[in-house]
Amino acid sequence: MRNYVAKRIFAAVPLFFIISFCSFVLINLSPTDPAVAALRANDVPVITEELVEQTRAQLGLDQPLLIRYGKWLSGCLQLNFGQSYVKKISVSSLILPAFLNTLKLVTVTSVTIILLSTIFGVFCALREGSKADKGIRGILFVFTSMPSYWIGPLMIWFFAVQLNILPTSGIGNASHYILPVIVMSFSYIGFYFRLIRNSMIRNSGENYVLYEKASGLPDRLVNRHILRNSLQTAISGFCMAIPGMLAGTVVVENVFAWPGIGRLCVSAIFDRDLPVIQAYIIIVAAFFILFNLIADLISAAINPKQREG
Amino acid sequence: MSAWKKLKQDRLAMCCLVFLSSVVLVGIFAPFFAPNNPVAVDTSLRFAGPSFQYPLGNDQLGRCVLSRLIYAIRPSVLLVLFALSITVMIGTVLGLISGYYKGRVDNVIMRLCDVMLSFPSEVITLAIIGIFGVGLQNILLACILTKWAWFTRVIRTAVMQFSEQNYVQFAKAAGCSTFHVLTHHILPMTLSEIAVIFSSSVCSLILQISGFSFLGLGMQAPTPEWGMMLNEAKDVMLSYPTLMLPPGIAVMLVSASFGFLGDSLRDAMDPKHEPAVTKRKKIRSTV
Amino acid sequence: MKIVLQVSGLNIWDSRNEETIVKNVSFSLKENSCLALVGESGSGKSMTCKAIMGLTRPWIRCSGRVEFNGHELLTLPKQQLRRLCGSRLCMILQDGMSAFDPSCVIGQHFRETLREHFGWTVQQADERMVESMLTVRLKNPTEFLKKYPHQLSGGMLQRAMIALALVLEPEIIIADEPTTSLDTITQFEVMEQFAALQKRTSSAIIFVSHDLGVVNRLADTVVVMKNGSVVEFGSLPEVFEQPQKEYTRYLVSSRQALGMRFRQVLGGNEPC
Repeated sequence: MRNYVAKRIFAAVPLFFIISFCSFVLINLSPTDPAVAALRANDVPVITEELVEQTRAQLGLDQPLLIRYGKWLSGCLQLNFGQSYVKKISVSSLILPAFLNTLKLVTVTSVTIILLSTIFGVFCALREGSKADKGIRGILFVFTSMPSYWIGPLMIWFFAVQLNILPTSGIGNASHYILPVIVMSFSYIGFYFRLIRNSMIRNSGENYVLYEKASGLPDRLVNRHILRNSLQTAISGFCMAIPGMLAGTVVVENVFAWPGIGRLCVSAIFDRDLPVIQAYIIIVAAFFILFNLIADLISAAINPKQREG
Repeated sequence: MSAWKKLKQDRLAMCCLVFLSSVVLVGIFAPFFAPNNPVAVDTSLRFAGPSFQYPLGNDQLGRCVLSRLIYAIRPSVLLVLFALSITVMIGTVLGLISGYYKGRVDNVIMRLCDVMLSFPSEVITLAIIGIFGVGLQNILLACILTKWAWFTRVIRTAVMQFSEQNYVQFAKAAGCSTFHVLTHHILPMTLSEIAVIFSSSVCSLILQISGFSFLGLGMQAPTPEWGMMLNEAKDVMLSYPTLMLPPGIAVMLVSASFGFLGDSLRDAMDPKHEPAVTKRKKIRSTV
Repeated sequence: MKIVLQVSGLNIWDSRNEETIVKNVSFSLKENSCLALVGESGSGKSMTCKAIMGLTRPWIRCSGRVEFNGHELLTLPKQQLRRLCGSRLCMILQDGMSAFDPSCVIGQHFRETLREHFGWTVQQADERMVESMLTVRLKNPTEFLKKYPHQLSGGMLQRAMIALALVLEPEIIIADEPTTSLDTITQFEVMEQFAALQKRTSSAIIFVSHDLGVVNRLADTVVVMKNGSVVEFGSLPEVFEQPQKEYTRYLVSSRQALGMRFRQVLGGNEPC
């Protein structure tokens, strides 16, 4: 097991460097000169050649690419992402609180998704082919195909405006979580529900289930074994989905005015605030790699076969 | 082909196919189907209800909602299909090379795919827009960049499977050129694989691209696009919520149809899977 | 001799496409005897066994009568049938590798089964299993209990199933092609254990196989099945030496040549 962990961690580190380098180079490939972008972002009326040169030196853009990359990366590792062109404050003071807000939303959403899709998945798998199974599958399919940027505003209109029982937007107490979490769960729940249901059904046709039943184990125990094996596929799926959700919050955060990184990133794109975009990419990438690693380790911990491979 | 026959028996899949083909046709010939100019502003008709001239009413600028909906098929569906076709082509070429030649070329391509796939596509899209600026063409570029790796991998697996088969080995031994073997013996076999991944990725891509337009990162006004129509409708939602319905339902129907079609295609291609409809028929004939 | 299991007019069909799998199957199993179910693959042998224990998938339907010591198994409530399974009716599966939950250690299955039927604690269960595993010649049984299925071989797991059956002491043991997925040497070892099992317990055995060599060695009575129906039912010498039906004659003659070698090996190593 220890060997496996070491091997996976060693594989993750170069991936992080490759991705960080790619994102850094891409930003530098941008057709707009960062210096010009910085000046524009500050509403400088006339951009002269001289001014551009000055800004370049000021932002350290006149140094060779690799040196800049090294400086930028070592800064990133200390959570120093540079200065925002627009807001004139450090990017980290902008992005870290926003990241925490997104993390809160993602945590609550993933718990909801895991709970609901497991409950529905198990329920439907045990009643495969029944009316309840078909009904739940149909409803969840409809939910999944509803775009969140459509159902979100409609829910605001219905629950917050017409019924006036929930806040329309922003972050605050627990009630602020309800609508965004529901809307975000909609787009993911169908997938995980199907994953659990189908893997339960596949597992219940396995030989070991037959032998357990033949040995006279009660349904409760047999189902526990089926669930244990089915969750193996689902758990690594869940872990992979969490960083995907970090990126997927963009729409929901904008619909519900949730002050998270997705919203920050979109406004940075409009402002052409490159350091913020760069920081966004690197943070999400780091989390993506981290969670992929965790997913692998968890599935290795519960799946004895993989541990040795 | 038996897969086509199976698909024809699947009533839902056929409905989706007919619906999607008509959507595509209406989109291509939008000027013939749209009753009005989609960008013509008429302030006297702001928020007008449905009428004979304007079947779905008018929006906040008095533009014809139905015409905008029809013209929006072009960026929302046709452009997505176009971008995806390019992606499929890239994926096919790389997948063929990678799967047929194997060895070092394969290794390099697969490592590249790994890096691309280890990254959520939303982030790559945001990065591309962040770097190259707002606009639909950049989103489509991002879509090509994020999806090619996946297509390459699927097609490579299929190619590897088929290039081991006897008739391909025979063609090689008989002295057919590599190009001939690839285009005549391997490519046709992978078409079914391509069809399945194509239709299921259209589904998610339509949702995603309209989503970016909704955020204002994609198509720019005044060109109609479903996501953007939703964005505009959202601003006046409190007083005129019905404007939310047409573009939302359009996105939902089209993406769900592609999703259904993808599922049915997969089932039809799977020799083990027997469609539900034929089962019912069998019972009837035995009873 | 007392009849422990009486199957009469058993029909099995798939309710999804109304396909008949087993048609009007009848046979009886006497106390302390071994009945062999013989036939090609797909002749409905395994399905018959599963139907007896109520282990068929939900879309498989059965009709007819299966009487076991006064219980009518087909109509018995699921809960009661489940209680009979394991303690009084025991099954040994074909493929040992897939018969145990891949995410649990082997001991888990034994402990849960024994606690369910006898209410034993982990220590009691392990103790008895270790004892029983030694009798089926499994080495290091204490270590064995802590292993995952993929770390063991098919033959070892097969013998572990026999060991469990020994502890459970059921009235009927149903062995569904227990030797088919094994290599010849392991096959021999497992067969040896079956012969010993027959001696050690007073259980009646239903032995499903398409290997007539194996059947010839173990069985007292033979049921020959083809396409879901019983072709022939009688005592071993009756069926093997004076087959009534063309199909049995064909089966016996075609297998005789192949079975020769196997019987030589078996015959040369009489375990008792």
